[in-house]
Amino acid sequence: MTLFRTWQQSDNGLLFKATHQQLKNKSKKLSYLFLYTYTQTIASPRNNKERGLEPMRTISWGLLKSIVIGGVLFGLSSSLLAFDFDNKLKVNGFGTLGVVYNNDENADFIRKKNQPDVKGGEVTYSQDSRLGLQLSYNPTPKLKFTIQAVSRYDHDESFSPKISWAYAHYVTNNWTIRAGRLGADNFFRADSLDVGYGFLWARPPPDYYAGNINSQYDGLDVTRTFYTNWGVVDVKAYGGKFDDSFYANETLSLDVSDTYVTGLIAGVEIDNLLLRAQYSHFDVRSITFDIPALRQIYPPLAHFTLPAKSSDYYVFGLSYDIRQWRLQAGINIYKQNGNLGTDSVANYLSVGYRYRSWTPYALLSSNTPHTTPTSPLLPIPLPDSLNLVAPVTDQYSIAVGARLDVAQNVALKAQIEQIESKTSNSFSWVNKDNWDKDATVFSIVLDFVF
Amino acid sequence: MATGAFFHTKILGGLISALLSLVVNIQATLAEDLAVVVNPALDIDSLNKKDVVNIFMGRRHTLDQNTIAMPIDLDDDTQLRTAFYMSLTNRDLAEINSYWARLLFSGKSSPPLKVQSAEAVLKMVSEQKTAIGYLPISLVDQRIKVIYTLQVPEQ
Repeated sequence: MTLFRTWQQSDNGLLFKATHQQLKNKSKKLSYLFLYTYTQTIASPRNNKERGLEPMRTISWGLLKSIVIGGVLFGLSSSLLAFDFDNKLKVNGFGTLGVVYNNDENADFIRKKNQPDVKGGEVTYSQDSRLGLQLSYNPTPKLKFTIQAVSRYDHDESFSPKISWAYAHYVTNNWTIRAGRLGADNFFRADSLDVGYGFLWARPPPDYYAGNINSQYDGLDVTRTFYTNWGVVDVKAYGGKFDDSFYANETLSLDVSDTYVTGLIAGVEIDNLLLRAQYSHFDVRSITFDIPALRQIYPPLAHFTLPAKSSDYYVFGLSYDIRQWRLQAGINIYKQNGNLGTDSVANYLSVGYRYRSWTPYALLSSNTPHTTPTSPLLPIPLPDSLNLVAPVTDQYSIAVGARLDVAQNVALKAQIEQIESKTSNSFSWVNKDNWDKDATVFSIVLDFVF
Repeated sequence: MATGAFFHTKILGGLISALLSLVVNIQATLAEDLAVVVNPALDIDSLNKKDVVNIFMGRRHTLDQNTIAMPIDLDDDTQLRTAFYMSLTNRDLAEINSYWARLLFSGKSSPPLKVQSAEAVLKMVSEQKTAIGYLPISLVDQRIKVIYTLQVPEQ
């Protein structure tokens, strides 16, 4: 009875109002701390100084905008929390403040292919730190509109926020339909890679996810859910057009926005076991190359468009919580039907053990090519730093780390990973002409949601 | 020596009685079962554990063929909420919040509406036909209908 005595004593809910208020204050303080740290540290990354930009310019309009919008939306969210039921409007957010250090000066580690590289041998805030805000409006129980913006250090070398998602969501009995700008769900759980609080590791395994260059598309998805005695089965069909420019580094950028995707996902959840199988077909109608260095030397090769063909992904994923153990695994089989790299298999296996607020974990991942690249697009040998047309990623990684849930919406994580590559050309590294093909990456991140 | 033995016996006796009183206390603080409740006007009389898990974990949107469910949850950091999810899914609140972060920000589903007390759950379920909530079984009265009883293990 003691367990519930507090409830019975507080029939006007005052006690819990106080707890609620404390929690709100805690997350409010945390967000201010985040915004402050954001302006003090990330606003002047070492990278920009090295690139010769004036210090004043590094505090870009984009960053200021993101802080102002972030602050306004956060203030709005705090005042709306108590009224979200009546007003049918909700503001939520997620963020990460992270530092990463790669011990190899000859290889630059990147979290996501369209982020600018950060010099090896340096501590950086810019790869992992980000802030996302989501606004949703439910005019009726069946209909919902959602818009999400994310601020991260991006290919334009700023933290200016970008609309990542904007869609309408309609739910009936067993059907869910979404239309608009949607998160690309190409790989196992690839639609929530920005939400660090939602996964166990400091960073999703790059061997598995770095190939996932498209993060959102404009289109439609339809899900049919079946409820059986043994579990819930979901079948989702989706299709649309990508909108990404794929920036490699200062020397080369690729525009792959002329890409169409269609796919089918089947998933089953039985208690704490989730299994997923998926097929995605990418129709890449053209790739536009931009090589600034050639503008003076040979303009026709500085900017050109080439036809490409198509590629297919076969994806399998598993997540299983058994007692205190937390297992997760993914396999991607990539088949190219033209000029889009090499056939490859990427996979990962993660094992964690939940003990009170701690979850120590181990993570193994690899990416292995299955054909030698034929490069009819550019039949000349390229330096590794430019060879993104037919990248051969052949590497594996071993990571160990721990997640500590410091509060119910804040997690602190530390991770060490050893990356071994068989080729100096690898998808998650740039500027690696003199690379000795291995590196150790140290990460500490603070993830939160509100 | 005799005095020492006497004191040892006394200490041992004290320890045993302390342990006994602890056991008695533990039995006195046995957790109360939780009731999953809906509005009496709703045409459902029972759900199984899977249905309850699916509704509160955002995998199931409907209560019956025509009713979109409105699950009602309690605020973070409460023993009642901890007991509910631990009994239902064997996960602590940080893990439940982490699960919801993934679903919410990938647009799959939204977490249940949160209220601040079991009394607020009772009020909302008695007023909203589509609401489904949970509360200590001793709070149940004629304004609401129990459709599932969750046994809370000893702490």
